Amino acid sequence: MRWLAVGLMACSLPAAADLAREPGQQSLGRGIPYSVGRALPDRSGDWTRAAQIQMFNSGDLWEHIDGAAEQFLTYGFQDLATTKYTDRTTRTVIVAEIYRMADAVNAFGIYRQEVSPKAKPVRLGVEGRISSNTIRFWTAEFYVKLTTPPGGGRMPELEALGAAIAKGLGAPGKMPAEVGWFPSAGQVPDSVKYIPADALGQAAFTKAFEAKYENPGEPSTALVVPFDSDQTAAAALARYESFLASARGKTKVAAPGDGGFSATDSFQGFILAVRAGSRLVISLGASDGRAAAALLTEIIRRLPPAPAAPPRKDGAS
Amino acid sequence: MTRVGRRGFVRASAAAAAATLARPALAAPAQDAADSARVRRFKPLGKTGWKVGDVSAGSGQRDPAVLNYIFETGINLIDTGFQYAGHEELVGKVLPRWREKVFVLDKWDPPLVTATVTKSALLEALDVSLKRLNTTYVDCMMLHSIGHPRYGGLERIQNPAIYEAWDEAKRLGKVRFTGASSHGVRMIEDMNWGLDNGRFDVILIGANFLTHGVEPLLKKARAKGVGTIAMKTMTTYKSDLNIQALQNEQTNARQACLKWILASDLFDTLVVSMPNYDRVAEYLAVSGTTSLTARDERYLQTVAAAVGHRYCRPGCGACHGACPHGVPVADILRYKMYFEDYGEEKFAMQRYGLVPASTRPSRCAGCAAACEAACPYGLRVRERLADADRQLRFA
Repeated sequence: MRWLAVGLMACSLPAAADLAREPGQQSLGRGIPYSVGRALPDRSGDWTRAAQIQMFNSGDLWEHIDGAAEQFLTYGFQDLATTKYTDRTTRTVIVAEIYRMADAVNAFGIYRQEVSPKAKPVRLGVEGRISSNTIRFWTAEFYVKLTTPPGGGRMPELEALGAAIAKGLGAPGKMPAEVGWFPSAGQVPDSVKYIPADALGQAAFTKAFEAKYENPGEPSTALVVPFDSDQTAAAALARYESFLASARGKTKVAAPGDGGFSATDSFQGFILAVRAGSRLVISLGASDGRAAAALLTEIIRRLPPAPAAPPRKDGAS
Repeated sequence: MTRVGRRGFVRASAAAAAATLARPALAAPAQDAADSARVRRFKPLGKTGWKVGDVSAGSGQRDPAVLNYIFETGINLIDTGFQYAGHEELVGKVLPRWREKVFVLDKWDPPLVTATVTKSALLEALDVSLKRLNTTYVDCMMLHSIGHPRYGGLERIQNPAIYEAWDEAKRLGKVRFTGASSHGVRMIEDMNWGLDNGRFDVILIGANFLTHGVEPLLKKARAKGVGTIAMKTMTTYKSDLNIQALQNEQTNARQACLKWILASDLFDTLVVSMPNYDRVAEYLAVSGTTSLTARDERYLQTVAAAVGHRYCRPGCGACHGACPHGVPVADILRYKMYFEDYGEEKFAMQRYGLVPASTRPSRCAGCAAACEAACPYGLRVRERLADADRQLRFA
């Protein structure tokens, strides 16, 4: 963690980076994204920034969130700017955190991983939700969290602080295109998630997207797992099939896509796993094979051609 | 899917992984690859009455099926916490199947536990965790990250509200045992206070083959019947085992690190992050270990050579009092650690400001460095003191 002793004046000056050091504090030799710190305003309504802005990077995120750090690193965590705000009269505290992730997909990913679907939507960034004492939202490559102690209340003011921070972080961007791969019919709202590593517990399944379905009354999950090539995807499918060697009723299928297999697992239920070019498309827990095949057919229809560009830089192992 | 099927798979993958390893540094296959994915040794967890597998699961899982498989292998302790984003909820998806067979170790959110937190706030937080875990009780409720300056000093864990909350939770059947976790700079001091005052049934501490200074603490815990669990077994606090000299031998080196804990009679179990089936197989492959081989020792030496010279072990203090000029070596190195590793720059500089100028490292010039002679780990103490002086003085 590094202190950003950002004073009222320094915040508004172009040379804030130079002025931000405490007297006698040496250059730390690392690039610190002062622009993120600047997104934390000095005031918002009755709330005044009551602490220096602290910065954490991937080497010391443990100091701030200890056991949660590992997950953030998987989502391509870059750095964190955090500070506290207090209300002069009530002395209530807001902890503000801006996590800069590798890119917007990872910001979306960690947001969806952390947010409760029961929280109320709020108009902040690309997507945000507010619960009894926390606002979470993501915008561009940033994941923002504002927290008050339980019972802290005053949500409109928390929302106003969130809006000020969102403004400071620039244009919000838009929802990842991958969200559109999953048809909305029967989909649990806002259930699409980005899984950077170890999807389905398979070390080779990285950068996957999944969505939950409740159709009809039967919970199921659909996943799309991208690979570098058709061959790599075929090898991963074969390995996954081997992993499920003892599942019941294993059957080869010729479609949808380039075909694959189906099986029934005691924990996951009915599994249909197929390859579509360089992607694996998998359904877990569907009530029957026809429903699973119909869903996967629709997902495959929506998939754009596999990108020829290098894999996305997101820090996933 | 049957248990046999998955086990067969992970055995095969562990063997395949071993077979494909290039071994320029220390040639050897991954150890005990065959028949690996099961717990082979159980020990009493202190006086809790629980027989715990020697390898236990930390967090890191994303898929409930992985956690279900972990329990199928015989692993019967899961380490979770409020702060582990989404992990309590994930455990809750699987736990009803295994509730009587798995020891759930949970922790309050570290910032919640302060010198002024109330009993009702702690009990309320416990209820939130129970709901997330989909259970009516946890086997052990811990204070998370004691001994960490960020969350406060010893007064934090001396707050009587904590112990009133624990007593109430036990009376209500929501908590069976209590304890604390730490890998902070004051781990030994705070853990000792808890042990001396009979507050902990189980302790979870950062420990690995480099942290020999924790032995007296562990022996005290043993003597009191307190369960002992190791975490951070493969890291020197935050240095990952990504060591160039090991090249493709990372698996064997990780296993050697685990084996060091397993071979110690001071730990009841260890917890390690298990994000996927391959890692479960890799870690369970060393379950049942009771001694280290010469090959394990060589791996540990390789790791130690890479990180040991800059790793000041918690609880060591061998340099304390060694300086003929009265430089408080251990204190200054600890302030340096606050500054560098714990982000407590201001606190560290303030503490350093209290060291009299006459006993600062300016005295080190031309000294024969008795401090370095006293360090059992060969740390370049004088160099570190000079660095500390540059970092910590207001100049």
